[in-house]
Amino acid sequence: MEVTLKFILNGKPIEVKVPPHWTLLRLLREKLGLTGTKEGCGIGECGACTVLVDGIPLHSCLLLAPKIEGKSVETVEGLGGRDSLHALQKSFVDHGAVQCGFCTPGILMSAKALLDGNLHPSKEEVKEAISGHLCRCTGYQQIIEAIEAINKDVRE
Amino acid sequence: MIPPFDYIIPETLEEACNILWEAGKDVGVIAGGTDRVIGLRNGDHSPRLLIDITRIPELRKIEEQDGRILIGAAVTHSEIASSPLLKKYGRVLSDAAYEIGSPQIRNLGTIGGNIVNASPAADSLPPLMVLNAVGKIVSREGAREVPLDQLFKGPYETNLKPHEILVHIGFEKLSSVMRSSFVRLARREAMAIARMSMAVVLRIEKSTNLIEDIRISPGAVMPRPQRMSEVEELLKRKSPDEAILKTASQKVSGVMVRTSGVRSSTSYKAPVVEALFLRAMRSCLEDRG
Amino acid sequence: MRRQVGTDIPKVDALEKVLGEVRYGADLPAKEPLCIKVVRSPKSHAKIVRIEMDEALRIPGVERVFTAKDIPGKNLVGTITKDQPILCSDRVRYIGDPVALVAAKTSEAAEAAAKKVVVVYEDLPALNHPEEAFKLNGPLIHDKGNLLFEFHVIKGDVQKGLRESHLIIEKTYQTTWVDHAYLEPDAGISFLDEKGRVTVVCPTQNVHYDQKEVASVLGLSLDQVRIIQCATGGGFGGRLDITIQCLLALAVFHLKKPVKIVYSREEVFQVTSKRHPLTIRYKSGVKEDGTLIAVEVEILGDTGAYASYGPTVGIRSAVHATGPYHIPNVKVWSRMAYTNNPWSGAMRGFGVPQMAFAHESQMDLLAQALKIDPLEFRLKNCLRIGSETATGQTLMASVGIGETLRKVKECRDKANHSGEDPKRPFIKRGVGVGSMWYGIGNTGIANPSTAQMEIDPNGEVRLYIGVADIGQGSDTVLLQIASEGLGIPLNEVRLIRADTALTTDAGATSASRQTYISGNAILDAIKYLKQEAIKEAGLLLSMDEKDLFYEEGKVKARTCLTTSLPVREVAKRRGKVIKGEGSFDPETTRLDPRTGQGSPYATYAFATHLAEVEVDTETGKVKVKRVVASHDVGRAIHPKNVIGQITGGVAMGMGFALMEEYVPEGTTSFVNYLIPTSKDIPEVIPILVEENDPSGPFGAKGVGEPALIPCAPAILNAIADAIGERIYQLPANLERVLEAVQRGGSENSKHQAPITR
Repeated sequence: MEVTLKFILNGKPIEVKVPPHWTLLRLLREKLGLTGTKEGCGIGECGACTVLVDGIPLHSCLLLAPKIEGKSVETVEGLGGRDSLHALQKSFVDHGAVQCGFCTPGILMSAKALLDGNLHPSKEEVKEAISGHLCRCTGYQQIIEAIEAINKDVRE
Repeated sequence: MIPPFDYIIPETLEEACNILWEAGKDVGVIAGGTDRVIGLRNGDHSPRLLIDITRIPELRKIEEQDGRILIGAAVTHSEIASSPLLKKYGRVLSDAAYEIGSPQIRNLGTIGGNIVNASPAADSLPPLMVLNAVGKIVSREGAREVPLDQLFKGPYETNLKPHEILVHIGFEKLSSVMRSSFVRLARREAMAIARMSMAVVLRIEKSTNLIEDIRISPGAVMPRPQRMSEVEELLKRKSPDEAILKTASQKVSGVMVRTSGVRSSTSYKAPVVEALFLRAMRSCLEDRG
Repeated sequence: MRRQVGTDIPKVDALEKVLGEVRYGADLPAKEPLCIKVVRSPKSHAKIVRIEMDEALRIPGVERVFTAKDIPGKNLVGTITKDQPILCSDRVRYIGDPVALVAAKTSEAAEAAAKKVVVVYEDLPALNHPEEAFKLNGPLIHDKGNLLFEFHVIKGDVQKGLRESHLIIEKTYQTTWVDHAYLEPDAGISFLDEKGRVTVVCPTQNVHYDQKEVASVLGLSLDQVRIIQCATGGGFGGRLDITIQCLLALAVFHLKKPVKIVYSREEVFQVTSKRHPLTIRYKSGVKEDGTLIAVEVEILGDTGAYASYGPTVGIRSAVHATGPYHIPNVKVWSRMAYTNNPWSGAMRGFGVPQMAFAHESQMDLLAQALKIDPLEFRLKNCLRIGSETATGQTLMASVGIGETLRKVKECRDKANHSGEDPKRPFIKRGVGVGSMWYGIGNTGIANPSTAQMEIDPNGEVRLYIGVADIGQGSDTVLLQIASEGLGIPLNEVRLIRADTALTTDAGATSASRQTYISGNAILDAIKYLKQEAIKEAGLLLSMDEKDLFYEEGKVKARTCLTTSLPVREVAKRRGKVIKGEGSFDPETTRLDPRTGQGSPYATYAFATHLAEVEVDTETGKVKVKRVVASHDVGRAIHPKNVIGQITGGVAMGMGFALMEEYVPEGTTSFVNYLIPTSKDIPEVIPILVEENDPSGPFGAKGVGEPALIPCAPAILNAIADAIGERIYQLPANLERVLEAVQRGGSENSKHQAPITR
């Protein structure tokens, strides 16, 4: 059995049929072709699948698709484009915050949620905001610097 | 891989109770799903139907009613952690909620889910135990109120019947003379199950400097959440000096060992549970000013 | 042109990664691919009696179930010793060994069918402890015996050295399994390409190795197999071995349809290689003035069910056993034993991180016993230009260990972090240092890289290189080298890489070798390209080649300053491709099989870390506050990349020190395998010491593995400084730290005193 879902995806209303046992992650990747959101563990322990639902970071691997009925979902694909990079995307490139890049889309989404609610986060708040993400390559330091740099830009 | 099932999102409690009553066997209730979805993925359970209770208004509120705080079962850990009402009247719980898992888990996971999953290491349970929390449970048969300490049967086991829904958890507001503390130890600073935790509520009579009310509940050291009434009795009407705290801490580890038995981890856990208890107590005492 | 080398340009792959456009294994598009799923052994050691697949085949959507019988070629793979079956035929040797492979139209059907394949086993006695591997009449894991590999390094006379020592300290150190925990679970696709080649697209650290193994397993020639590396979500050595390549290729070979596989995280934990657990018995002798004169080391490694990189770890741990110190009398005996445990393989450092834990603990113990400052003690004994290593190699250039120590010492002397925290009496603070050396490239064997550079008549400049960038940034660094060498802006050089159909063998992305070795291969290609450009320009200008030279992308005349032809113009006007083919193989010698003497590496990287920790003496919890990481990298081609390697290495080193522990049958996922999060990591202060190596490209060496190696020893030494007791077993988890604290408090505490003569 499939259910019909209506929700906002990256700012655009969509309607899609999906089996109710699918997770949002599977819906995004397998039906909607949005493979920017990654599966690193499938049980909410790595953060690679993080998307924003009504502006709040959630694990799309733990979120059954029917739950997003009527909500607004943002993924990395909605963050910015080649000619319209989000400030975070640019900052990640500039600060060397990307190595293998597998954790990057999820961290970008958590960082966006942080900055949307708090223009001047402290270093501790940045660390807290991305504490639900594992990164094995960078040791987080350049990621933290990239996020902190945004708040500096805004202040200046 | 998650096996197929049907999914219903009822809008009212009555609707949810009716569906649950009529659906019979192989039906599951889902709130945030942070435990449930993992169970589905691992094949621990394969329900025919899942009933999502997160859009029922009664289950989504934190409110004050007749001197009590009521927290809807589908309220998320993030909502608890940031609730001004809880910061004021149940800080031990909001502090614990802030330490759960990760931001994403706190944004999705609910207090009701934490309760009915009944993990011995669940972070919200020791605070609820020291708040003397009572759960309101409903079904088509009616409603009942159950003190939380009577709800837990064992690890991952509660007395909740298959057709029942936990609606909210209520507790008496902690008055301004009550002090509370939650301390937690884990192997890592985020996304880690508690190795051990300790929740304490304390009231000291100012005029006599005697302990008038003391409630102690450790996490992840016993098979089910429970209070350490033996230690509480020891401390009641005593002046909280170092000697009695030390004696009480030894009793804490004693109760732990008696309840859980001697395991390979006991040599580590016994001294550490004592230390956590002392830290929680000292934090309450310092807080007293 | 703007200089490239030493410049922090944006990484060339960063943009598509922040946009979410880049495709990793699971993201690859394929036309209606069949999904494949592996049936794995639940037994650690058993005979396969029979495999029943009727029920599995009845599941709708199932196309086929493969077993070892379906493998047309050789059913054994392995980088050094080929002993690992793609699908086990008669025997399984660890929990997770592959037994059958299901191909189905959907992942659900493949998974369901995999559960219905019935494998009947007959249990065999299992061997789970390497120290029991050599007992008579014990279980035999492979027919040739349980000793996979042994190696000796013998220099001087260790017994004499020990006799002449003023002080001897002997301790045993133990490490455990560690998982790479790369974030991207292995996944990939396979299909027949337009030329009918079996083509596999997947994350990997070495496409040309994969090609050889797939061809061998399928009984095909190399040109019938093509491997393309897709974006790879980390590696750290875990993708040096065959993971999914042969499984994918086997299904495509038979079914002639596109197939796809995606491992779950649980599968990655269960079936990919691990860091070798090593037991290290370490004996050091020192003179009264603090001069190290003897080291005797015995190493026993658990290589698990299959060889993988066991021999590499065996030889590298022996060669690096002394640490970056001059020691005249050395005897090292290293052995790798087969067991029925998870197979150990390559992981960032190949045994050297384990050895550094041992030799740096010894250094602190000796310094303490001699009452010398541990940094001064290291400075006194460290290698310098002209020093002879334990393998008898005389170091001629770029020996920056002393400088890394001096830089760290400045930081330590400024910071006073020892002692107690008055507000929290249960917290004890400590400072520790750890040093390391690391030979760049493979050990005493040829490990060449090749590269081609060409400029076509349309003016397109291309670099062809077989190097797999696994996130560490080799694409960017190699393009920087190419751009700088050629004098053509980086964004005008097109990179074609890690595709066996288009590039030649560059060897593995391992051993911190790609910047140094492939960087040199590119410079070699450029040398030939320049020669050809000069020759062709000579024809255009009617000038003798001798009167021309190449500079900044142009061919210029020595005699006339205004005569200058852009190299692209030369290609265009001559109507031909100007190209250069290059290669580089570092100058090494084979190590003597009896004594281990020789020059195994052309160059070494050096590093010292300083760690500041706080130990909670009531819970055993350790907080690493700060790590000063001082690295001799030769020359930093891309300093920000180098720093990224260092901060990442520190985090991984911290995990190795404090929390990472793979427990066979216990570890299943990231719930019970903990790696540091953003809230765990210390502040990292990187210091780049650039002791240019004349043999390196623009002076560069390597940093990938060195970034990790000194961190755990520094942390362990800092813990010992804080609590006055030492931990000899990794990880230093809550329980071990508390146990050490309690040991310190007890009556008969003081650790075994050193032998003083």
